[in-house]
Amino acid sequence: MEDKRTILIVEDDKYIINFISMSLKKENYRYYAAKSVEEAVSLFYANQPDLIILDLGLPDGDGIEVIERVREKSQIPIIVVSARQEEQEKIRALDMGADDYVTKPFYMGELMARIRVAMRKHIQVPGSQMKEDVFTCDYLSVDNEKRKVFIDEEEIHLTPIEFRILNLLIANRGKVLTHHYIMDEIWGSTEGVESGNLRVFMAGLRRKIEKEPAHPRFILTEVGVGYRFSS
Amino acid sequence: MKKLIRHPQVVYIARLLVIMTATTVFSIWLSNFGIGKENTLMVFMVGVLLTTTCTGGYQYGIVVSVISVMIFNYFFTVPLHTFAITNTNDIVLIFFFLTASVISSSLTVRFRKQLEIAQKNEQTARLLYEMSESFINVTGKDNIIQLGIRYIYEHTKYESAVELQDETVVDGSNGKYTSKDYMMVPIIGLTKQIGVLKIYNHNQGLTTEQELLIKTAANQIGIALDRELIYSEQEKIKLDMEREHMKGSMLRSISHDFRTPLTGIIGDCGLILESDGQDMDSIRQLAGDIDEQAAWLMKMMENILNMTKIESGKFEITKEQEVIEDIVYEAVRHVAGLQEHRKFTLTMPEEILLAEADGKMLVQVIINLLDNAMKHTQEGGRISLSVSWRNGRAYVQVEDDGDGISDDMMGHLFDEFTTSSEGGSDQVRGIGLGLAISRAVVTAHGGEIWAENRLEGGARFIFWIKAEKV
Repeated sequence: MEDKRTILIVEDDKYIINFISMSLKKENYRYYAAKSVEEAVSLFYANQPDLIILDLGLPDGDGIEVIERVREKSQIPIIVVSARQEEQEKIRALDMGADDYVTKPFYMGELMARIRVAMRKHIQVPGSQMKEDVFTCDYLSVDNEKRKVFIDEEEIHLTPIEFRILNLLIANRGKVLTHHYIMDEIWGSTEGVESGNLRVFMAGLRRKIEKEPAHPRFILTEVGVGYRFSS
Repeated sequence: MKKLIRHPQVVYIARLLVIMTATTVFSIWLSNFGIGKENTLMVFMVGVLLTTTCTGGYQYGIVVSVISVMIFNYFFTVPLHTFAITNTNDIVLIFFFLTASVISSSLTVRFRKQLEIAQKNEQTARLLYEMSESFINVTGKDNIIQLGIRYIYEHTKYESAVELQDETVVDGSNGKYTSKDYMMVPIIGLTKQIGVLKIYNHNQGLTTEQELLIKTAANQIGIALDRELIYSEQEKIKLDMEREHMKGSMLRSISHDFRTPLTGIIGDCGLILESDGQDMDSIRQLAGDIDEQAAWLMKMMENILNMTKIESGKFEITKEQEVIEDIVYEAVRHVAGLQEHRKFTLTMPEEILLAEADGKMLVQVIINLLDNAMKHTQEGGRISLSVSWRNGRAYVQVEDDGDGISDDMMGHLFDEFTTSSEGGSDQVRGIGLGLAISRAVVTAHGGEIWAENRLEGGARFIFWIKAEKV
């Protein structure tokens, strides 16, 4: 029983709880379901889940409140499920500390994949391993010490900013990074930095490390939100 | 001296003296020719009449009559050069002269006064006419009120302010006056009071003319504002009616188009529920159908949502700098079956194109165009998407080798609820919002979108938005 991971579902629609919990059961996860902000917070304290699936629209408040209160205590992955079209809500949730989001309607396979990525990432990083010496994934390998990037063993040249962006993405792989967050990390502040700048750097970086820019292997764009590094 | 001249009484007395001297000299000169004193008196009568017309009141006429009598008495009646009268004839003559001159001078004065009043009335009437005429050509609440305030200031020298019931305040005095030394005149529209006009007259009262002018100005402001109100209300009603009509046809269209997939979903579910779970393959097939139909419903709903945003006039795009290729790739990723069931080619320029755009909405535009291409091509048909850059514009072009656009569709392709499925097969469904939304989005970006038939067959949709090369 010990190896069973626990997931907290925060969602107020019984049909959605139903099909998420069925899929979780099939994947051998243990789960709890909360239907309100208060219930979510108390279940979080009582059961110490490994991951939270969170709907932003809850009857007694905003799901973002849950993120705030969970983040006071823990860094466990939070995946936001949102029916809202408004990009701002998602971005706010991500900036508040959510790791990822899926928009309704979504396929269960998609959510399961996100859960797996988030879990893996969470286990991998017990605080220390933020910077691996050499990161290798598929045909891409990044040598942090020598500051070199290889595609199929062949070295490619990245500008310092491109290198830093790539490193930031790799360190947060699987997680959606908002434009705001990346600009803040790379340029220190978002003041005076055109958001177009970042997009141009990303497009340039993608041209260098992706074999097929139309079907990116590593750098996925979340239009209107940010970027995600897929490992 | 000049001050003295300005005083009207001084001028009148001067005129009086001149006329008197002239008449006296003239009569003495006439008497040298042996002209009778009756005629001399006539000359004096003319003098009296001249004086009354040239001066400002009949008191001058009376004074002149008396002086004339004395001069006549002195120079022309026996005994000459005395003020004594011996002849009874002369007394009668003088008496009637006096009476006649007094009556005629008072008549002249009255005539003059009436003339003056008539002139003044005409002036006021012209002023009021001018004012009401100028109100006809003015539109816009502020302009109307400003005009009224200006008129009042020009013709009464009083500043004023207008406060309407909808809390619009236009102050012609720049808020100089805070105390309560103003007079209030109601501004009344056709049916009800719509505000007040405050005249800063320092509680000094107004002349009849000023009052008339101010009241007319208030009335004109009221009428003009009412006219404005009625006009805008009419426009609003017209717009509302159109919107209502839109909503009606939209709802009809939606309920019709949603019923079909919902019937399908309910049917499929019924079959699954009734099956004993043995025939897994057909269950999977049914679930696939449900999935497809639900996805279609979802897509329609999103389009309707976008459309209502546009219709309600709250269509706002939030522009950010976006790289065109991100948008294109995102759109391509979202069109199901594009890569698997069609021969799809994608051409992107070497350079990175950066545009001020609402990424999400542009993705929707491209998805709509690609969806259309999917709808109008058969399995294995060709669809190509190419992006190019010319003169500061990024052109996005979607081509297919399907059945093309018929002539009668061409004209209203981008109108709402234009679909090619009227009476057509059930396979091609849509409520005709995609292109309408696309056009609204592209227009909101300051670009253009159009469609044409390819010579080789099939349709071509092109749109451009401003973009720069990086």
